[in-house]
Amino acid sequence: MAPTDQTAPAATDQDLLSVARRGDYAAFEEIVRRYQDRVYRLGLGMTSQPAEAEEVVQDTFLSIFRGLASFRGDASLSSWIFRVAANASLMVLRRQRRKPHLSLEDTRPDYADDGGGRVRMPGAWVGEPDEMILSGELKGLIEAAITGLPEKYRLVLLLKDVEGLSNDEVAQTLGLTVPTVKARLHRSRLIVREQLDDYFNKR
Amino acid sequence: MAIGASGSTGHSCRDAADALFGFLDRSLCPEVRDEVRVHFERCPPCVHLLDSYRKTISLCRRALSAPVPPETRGRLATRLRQMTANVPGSRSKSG
Repeated sequence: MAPTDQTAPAATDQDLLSVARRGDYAAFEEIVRRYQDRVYRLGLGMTSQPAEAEEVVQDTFLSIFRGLASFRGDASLSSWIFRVAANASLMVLRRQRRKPHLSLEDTRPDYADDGGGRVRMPGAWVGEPDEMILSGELKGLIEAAITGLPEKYRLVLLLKDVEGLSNDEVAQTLGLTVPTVKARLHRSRLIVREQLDDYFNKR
Repeated sequence: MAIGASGSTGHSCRDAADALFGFLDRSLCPEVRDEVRVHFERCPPCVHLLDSYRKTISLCRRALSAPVPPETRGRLATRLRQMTANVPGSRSKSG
């Protein structure tokens, strides 16, 4: 079916939601089109397996479809979708059950052993991030570092740093306080940074 | 939190590391932010920490920015149509 005016790309999320709730499947499909890349990325970041990321997308939008009639609209559509996607990812991981996680015991930078407590002088991270060559090796390392984070930390980092949600939106999506989001995000970034630092130091 | 201006004490570097998030997030109070900035100006390893922390955020975004592969997109659309058609109470589909 060709999209109706109500399902044109310019429609707001709220418009689409209203139309979809009235049974317009084209509006639901537009919601899927609008969010499937982001849900897929979250699923891939959480599970690191394309087939499982696909499962996350499928489970997420099936749940959204089932919940359309009862959705009270007390959260934004995006918050609702990300919350469902986060839960779908965790469910897939439950089924998957694997992979030991990295320890969060020490996420501080590497301090020099000279008694001064200074941060150890690092190897080179040459260039700006947008200009740095993202080799397959480096990409794999980043993915592995993120996959190695405990699930609740990984979710926060993916929603904030990959999907670009605000701290408030992440907190609302995951039912956390903003300080908790900030603390988890900071530790996650330090862990990933540490592994990248090791990589760049060895080059 | 007090940040030493010399950048020469371990305590200062640790405090600077702890304050990194707030420094980039602009959520530190002006006094502390100024102290952290002074520390960074005088402590090259901490400058590296700040720089690599920023780059980590960007690199994570770039590494995981893949869209759904086209073949997956088609498969998902078909499967969702099939699955939603079987949802109890599902309304008539217009597409």
